[in-house]
Amino acid sequence: MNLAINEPWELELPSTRTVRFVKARTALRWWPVAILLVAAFAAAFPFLLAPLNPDITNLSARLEGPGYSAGGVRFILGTDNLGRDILSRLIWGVRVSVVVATASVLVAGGFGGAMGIIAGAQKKILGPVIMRVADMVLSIPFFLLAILVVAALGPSVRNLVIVLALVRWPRYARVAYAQTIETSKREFVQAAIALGARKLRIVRRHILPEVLPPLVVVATLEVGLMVVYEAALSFIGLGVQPPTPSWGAMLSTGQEFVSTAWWISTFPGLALFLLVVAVNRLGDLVRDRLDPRGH
Amino acid sequence: MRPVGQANVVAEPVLRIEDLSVCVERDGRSNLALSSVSLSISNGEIVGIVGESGCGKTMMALAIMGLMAENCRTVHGSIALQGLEITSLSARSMRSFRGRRMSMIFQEPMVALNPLMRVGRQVEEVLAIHHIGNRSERRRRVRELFAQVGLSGSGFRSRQYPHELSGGMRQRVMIAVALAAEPALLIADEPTTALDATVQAQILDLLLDIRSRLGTSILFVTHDMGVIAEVADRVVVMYAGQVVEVASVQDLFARPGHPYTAGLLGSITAASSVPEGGDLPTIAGRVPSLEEIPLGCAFAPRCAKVQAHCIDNRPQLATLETGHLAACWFPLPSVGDPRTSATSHSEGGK
Ligand SMILES: Nc1ncnc2c1ncn2[C@@H]1O[C@H](COP(=O)(O)OP(=O)(O)OP(=O)(O)O)[C@@H](O)[C@H]1O
Ligand SMILES: [Mg+2]
Repeated sequence: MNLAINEPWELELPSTRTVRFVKARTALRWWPVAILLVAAFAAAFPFLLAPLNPDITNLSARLEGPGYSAGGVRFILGTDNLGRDILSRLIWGVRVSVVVATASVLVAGGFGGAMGIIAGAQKKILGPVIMRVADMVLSIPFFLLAILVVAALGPSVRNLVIVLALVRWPRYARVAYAQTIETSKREFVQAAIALGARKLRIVRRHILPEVLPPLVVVATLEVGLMVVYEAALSFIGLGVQPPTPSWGAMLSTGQEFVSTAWWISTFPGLALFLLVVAVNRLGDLVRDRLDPRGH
Repeated sequence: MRPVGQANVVAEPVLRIEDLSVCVERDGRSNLALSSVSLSISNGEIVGIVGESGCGKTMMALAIMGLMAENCRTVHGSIALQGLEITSLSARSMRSFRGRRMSMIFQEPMVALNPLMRVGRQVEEVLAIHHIGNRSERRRRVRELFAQVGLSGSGFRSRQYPHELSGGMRQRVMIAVALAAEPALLIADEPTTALDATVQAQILDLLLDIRSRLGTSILFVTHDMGVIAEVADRVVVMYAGQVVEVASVQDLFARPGHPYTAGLLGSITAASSVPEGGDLPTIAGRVPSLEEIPLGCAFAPRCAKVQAHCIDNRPQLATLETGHLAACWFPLPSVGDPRTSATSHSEGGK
C-alpha cells in the first residue's frame, strides 16, 4: 500500500484530465450520480439493503465462495474468515468509507483552500507563514502524526476525520495558493483593481471561480486516497474499531486469504474502484460545468 | 469636427499633473522613470500621449490611477483630479476614486475581461463596487450603457461570455465597463493597438462620440501618430520619461518644434509613401533604458541636430515662437506657411 504523501501522479493531473473523448450531452454522462446516489442510500439506510446482519459470525460457514447457501440462507457474495456475509458487510461498510472520505475531504479542502487563498492574497507576511506551516505538515510522516493524534484523542470516526484533514489540507493549500498567485497576475484582476474593487470582492468574484475547479479535481482524487488511508488506519487499529465493517478493513483481512478466498478482498476492492471512479467522473462533470469555455 | 480652442475657458482642469517624478527601484538601484512631467486635461478634452515604446506612457497612466508596481514611487510633484490632490490620498479613498472619477481602458480586451463572467455582469459589477443603484436600476443602466457603446444590435446579448464576442465588441464592453460609473476622466492605454484597422477606426469614433455626448475627458496613450491625428485635441510627446513637446494637434502636425516629434511624424508621412515591403524611415537608435538616460538632453544621442551644448544641459519646456511648448535648445524652425495654422495659436499647452 503506497502511503507516500507526494505521489508522482499528483503533478500531472490537470493536463491528463483535460482530455475529452465524449462530448455528447446525454443523460448517460451522469451515470456517476446514479452510483453515488446508491452509495449514499446504502450509507444512510444499510438495514434496508443488507440481506443479513453483517456482524453475525458463523464458524461453520467460514470462507465459503459466492452463491453459497446453507440452511435456507444465501450468501450471494460469499463469507469471510469468520463466516460473515460479505454483501451485508459491504453494504454496511459504505457508511464508514463515505462518511470518513467525504467529511475529511470537505474539512481538508475547505480549510486548505481557504488557507491557500489567504496566503496568495496576503503575500507579505501571512502568506509565507501559512505556506511554511503547510510544508512542515507535509514533511511529518503520516503514520507518526496519525498515531500521535489518535493516542491523544482516542480512536473514533470523528478523530479519523480530524487526522486525515490535518494531514491533507496542505495539498489543497498548495493548489489554491498557486492558482491565486497565477490569477492575481491576470489582467482582469488588474482591471478590477483599476475599477476600485476591494481585495475581498476580487477574491470572491475573480479568484474563487478560478481556484474552485482545480480544488474540485484534487478533492475527487483525494476521496479515493482518503478511503485507502481510512482502511490503512483501521487496519492498524487506529481507525474504525471492529466489528464495525469498513471496506478498508475488509480489504486488509482479505489480503491474507487472497489465494484461497479471493472474494473477501475482490468485492470490496471492486466497490472501492467503482466509488472512486464515479467520484472522479463527477468531478470532471462539475469542473466542466464551472468553466463555460468548456475546453 | 473636433472642437479645438478650449484654452480660453478658465475652469479647473479635470486633471493637472505638475512636476511629477517617479522613481523605479531595480536591482538595488533607483532610476527616474518619469522626470518632472507636467500635463493638464480640461473638461471634455482629448489629450494624446505619444512616444516610442518605453518612453513612460504607461507609467504615467498608472501613476494617475495609483496603480504603479510596488517598486515604483512618486518622489516629487502633484497630481490633482478635479482640483483634489490624489498623490497623498489613503488607499481607501484612492479606491473609491478608481472606476468612479477616473477609469482605465486596457490594451487587450480579451485578457482584461474575466473569461468566466458574463459581460453584462462585468458592467454591473462596477456599479455594485461603487454602490450605485439597486439591482433593477443597475440592470437598466447596463442595458443603457451597452446601447451607448453600440452593443444593442444583433448578435449581442449581455448574457454572453467574452470569448463569444469579436475583438471590437469586447473593446466596446471594456469601454462600457470603464464608463459605467460616469468617470470624469478616461485613460485609454493603447486601446486600439490589438484591433484591426477598420475596427480600430470604429472604436476611435466611439470614443469621440462619447466625449461629445458625455463630456468625458480622455487621456489617450498611443505610439501611433496616425491615431493621434484622428482623436486628440492636444498632444503631449514623451521621450525617456520626459515631456518634450506639447501642442494642439494641428500645430504639432504642421510645425513640430522638437526634432523627436519631427522624427515621429516623419515615420508616418513616409509610411504612406513607402512602397510595400520598403523600409520605414525611423529615428536612428533606440529609446534608452532607465539606467542609460543621458544627463543632458535625453534625445541628444539620437538627434540629427545635436550640438555640444545639448550633451551637458537638459532643456526645459519653453514656449516657442509658434506658441507651443518644446524642450529643446535648438527647436526646429517653422516650416510651411505660418498662416495655415495661425487659427489654433491660442492653444499653448498647460
Ligand atoms: N515595474 C517596473 N520596474 C522596472 N522598470 C519598469 C517598471 N515599469 C516600467 N519600467 C520601465 O519604465 C520605462 C517606461 O515604461 P512604460 O511601460 O511606461 O513605457 P511605455 O511608453 O508605456 O511603452 P509601451 O509603448 O511599450 O507600452 C521602461 O524603460 C520600462 O522598462
Ligand atoms: Mg505602455
